[in-house]
Parts: sequence; C-alpha cells; structure tokens
Amino acid sequence: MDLGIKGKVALVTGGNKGIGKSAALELAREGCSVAITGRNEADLAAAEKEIKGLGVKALAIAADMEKAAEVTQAVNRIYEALGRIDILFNNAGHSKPCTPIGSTDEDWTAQLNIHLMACVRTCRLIVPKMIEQKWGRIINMSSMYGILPGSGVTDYNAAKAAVINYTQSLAMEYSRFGICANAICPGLIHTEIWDKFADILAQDLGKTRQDVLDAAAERASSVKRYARPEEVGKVVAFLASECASYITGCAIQVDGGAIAGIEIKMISDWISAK
Amino acid sequence: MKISFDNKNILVTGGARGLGEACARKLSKAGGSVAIADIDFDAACAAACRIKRAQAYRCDFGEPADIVKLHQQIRDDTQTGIDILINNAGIISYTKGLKGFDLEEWNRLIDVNLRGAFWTCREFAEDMQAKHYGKIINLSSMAARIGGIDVGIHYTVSKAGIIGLTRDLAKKLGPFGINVNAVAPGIMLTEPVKRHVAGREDDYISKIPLGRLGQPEDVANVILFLSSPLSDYITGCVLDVNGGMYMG
Repeated sequence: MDLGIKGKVALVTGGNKGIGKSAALELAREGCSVAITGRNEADLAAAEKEIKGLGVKALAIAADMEKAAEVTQAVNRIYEALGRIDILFNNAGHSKPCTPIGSTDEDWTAQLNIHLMACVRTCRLIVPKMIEQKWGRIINMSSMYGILPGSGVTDYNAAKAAVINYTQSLAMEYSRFGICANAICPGLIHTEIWDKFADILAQDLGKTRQDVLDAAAERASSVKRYARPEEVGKVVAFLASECASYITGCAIQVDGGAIAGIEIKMISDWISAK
Repeated sequence: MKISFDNKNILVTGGARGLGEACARKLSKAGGSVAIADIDFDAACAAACRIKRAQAYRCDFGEPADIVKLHQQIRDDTQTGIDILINNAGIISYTKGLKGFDLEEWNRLIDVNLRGAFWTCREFAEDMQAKHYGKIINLSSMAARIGGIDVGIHYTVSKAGIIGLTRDLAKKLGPFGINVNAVAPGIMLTEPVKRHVAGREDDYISKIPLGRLGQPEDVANVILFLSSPLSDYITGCVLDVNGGMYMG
C-alpha cells in the first residue's frame, strides 16, 4: 500500500510522545521529513533520534503550543529549515478533571487555548502556504469526547467538540485549494494522558490504575481493549495520504466501537458501582 | 507502508462492475484472493478474468437461500472461508416521487440492499468468528446522512438501515475480533451515475468543497484502508467519502 506522500514535510505538534510520536514515526516511515514540537526536551531529543533513524530529515523544536509567540517561532523555524509544510497534525493537548459547574474561567480558557486556539494559530500561519502549494493535509486531534461527552472532563469535551467544528470550517473554506482537513477522534488509547486520568479515578474510587483501565476497556469499547498509540498513528498517516484525497471535513473515530457500542459517559459510574 | 493481503480471502458482493470491481482490483493488487459474487454471472466472470486471483460466483443477494449457497460454495473452494467482506451489492433507483414506484420495487430494493447485506454478514461472520479475525465493510451512502439527492426514498432508507446494521454488528462482533464499518460515498462516477449527471456535472461540482466528482478509486482506497491492519481500532464507524459535501 503506497500512501504516496514520500518527500512531503510534516509538522506534528506534541510529537515527542504518545500518539504524536507514533504518527511522526509512521509519517517518517512513509518518507516524509518530520518536524515535531513538545515541551519536554529529553523526550524531544529521543523522538528526533528515532525519526532520523528512519532515514528522513527530523527537526525537534521545544515549544509550548499554548503560547502564541512560541507557535509562531516554531513554524518559522520549520519553514527556514525544511522549506515547506505539507502535512499538519495538531496533536498537542492535555486535560484535568472538570465538572460542568466546578471549574474556573482560567481552567476553561486553558483547555480552549491548547486544543482549539493551538489549531487556529498553526492554521493561520500554515494554511496560506498550503493554498499557494495547492496541496495540504490538516489533521486535528479531537476525541470521542468531542462527539459525545465523557463525565468529569467537561471543558475538555467542549474544546474537543470545538476542534471538530473548526476542522469542518477549514474543510468548507479551503478544500477547493486541494487541502483536506479532518479531525481524528480516538477513544481508549493507552497513553500517559489515560494513565493520569485512571490514577485520578482510582484514587477517588479506592481502586488501582489497572482496575480502572481494565474496567474502561471492558465497558467502553466494542472490541474490549485499549488501542496502542501506533494504531492511531497509522490512521493519521492514512488521512495524510493520497489514498484519503476525497475525505474532508470528517471526524474519524478511532475508538474500538465506543460510540457505536455504549454510552461512554457511564465509564466512571460503572467503575464506582463495581 | 507494507500492507499485504496475502493469504486473505475477500468477498466483494456486486463485484462485477463499478465500485465493487474497483475494490476487487485494489485488494487483489495488494495480494488478496478475491471472490466476486454478482447476479450477473457473465459480468462477474469477465471481471474475474481481468483481475488476478479472482473467482466468479453467481448470487442474487435479494434471495437469502442464494447467499447461504454462496457461503457453502466459497467455504468448499477456500477451505478457510472469508476474512474480509465488502458488502457492496445493491440497486440504485432514481427518484420518482412518493408514489412513483410500486410495492414490488420497494421490496426488491430493500431485500437486496439491506436484507441482502445483513444475510451476507450473518453467513460469513461465522468464518470470521472461527478465526477470531475479520473485517466487514458495508456500503452506505451520503443519501443516508442528508437525504437523497435525486435518488428514490427506498434507496435512502436502505442505506440508512446499513448504518444501524453496521453499528449493531460492531457491538456484537467486536468481542470476536471482527471490525464492522460502513463507507458512505457521495457522488461517485460509476456508469449509472455518469449517465445520470451527464450535462449537469458543473452543477454538482459547485456543491462539492473539493471541487470534483468522486471516482470509484476514491472509495476503493478507503475500503482498502478499512480492510487493512491500519484501521484495527476503528469499528462501528461510518466513513464519509464525499469531497466535503456532508461533513460528519
């Protein structure tokens, strides 16, 4: 299966670990040069080395995508070093517990800033050049919670829903220039973010992290398992490819049937009752 | 990316022409052995001659007994049964208003497009359950998402039913290692659609954000993805392949 993207240049934000790193490696395996951003310099250096090991150019930039000035600096550095950006995977993100009425304006602003505004800022800088190139792929990280909310992360749910809506606006306005914009909506992917979420729930419920992870996999996926980050990375590579050239404005679920199968908001209730 | 369908048996229903043939060709090129089942056996044979590692079968997907027979034949021929099922057989019907078709036409279309798809899953899921591996891809349509553009209401209803079928099967078959997804194509230039849109192409294109009508290849690529290990954690989903006409 030739994805047809050899020689393209990709930017993966939050590409130093988890799903971002998996996607960066999949794109590198396809022959793309890959720039990654992240906050942890040790992780960045390790990821850069792995990408280079696949025989392509890699560029790791320490940057906090919550800060507009750092986004601009990072994007400028990529244009200077690699000349272009064909594929943009807006992946950086984080979350912490939030109920519908229990969080501050600052909490809400932080979630919208890292999930929605980071996409807006990278797109502002990169989309005009994609239009000139008449080719581009934008993949924005949403979540299954962007389609149906999960309990305990209200501001994250809302920010991820906004990412889908923003992606559809991008598709509506710029698809005619050969730019496909899609959102990706993972479910239970075994990354640090889920471990942290599981730890918080476990503490509340007097259970272990593994209890929570097992219960969630059993309850919140039709396939009864977590995905490995690379299972999302491969979908990102597909969406970046020529094979997906007639898909735009979509929210692609990579959730093991979570939304088809069950009410995801029930995870924590079910664990509590166990 | 090294994706190989070596040693995989793939059934493409309605595979003699159009989208079905494009899928059969693509999956065969990636190493798969393809069973092409179609009501038009001569056309299925002709397609099987054009495609490597392909075998033609006759089947009327509006007749459950035919589907059961097809399953037996394929099991006899392959020994291990089917690994990947592309449920593509269907009838397209253009709109004739609410009363422009009779009960017989309604029943025939629903029987082929919806009951036929389910009966095929019902039969061939057995092969997959035994191996704890399988991929089912059902063909829905953009009509199911936004209401039909030019197509008959019975067609729209049948394709909306495919989405419910897909989600329900994803739940029931997920624990057996079987992924079930649907693809919802927009306006794809197969022969009947080409005839239908002839002379009005620009009208349609003006409504498509990507600025072009779809090709069978566009859908075949997505079906290849859903048939492959690239999509192992995707199940119960509907992938819209429509150039941005409907954003789901």
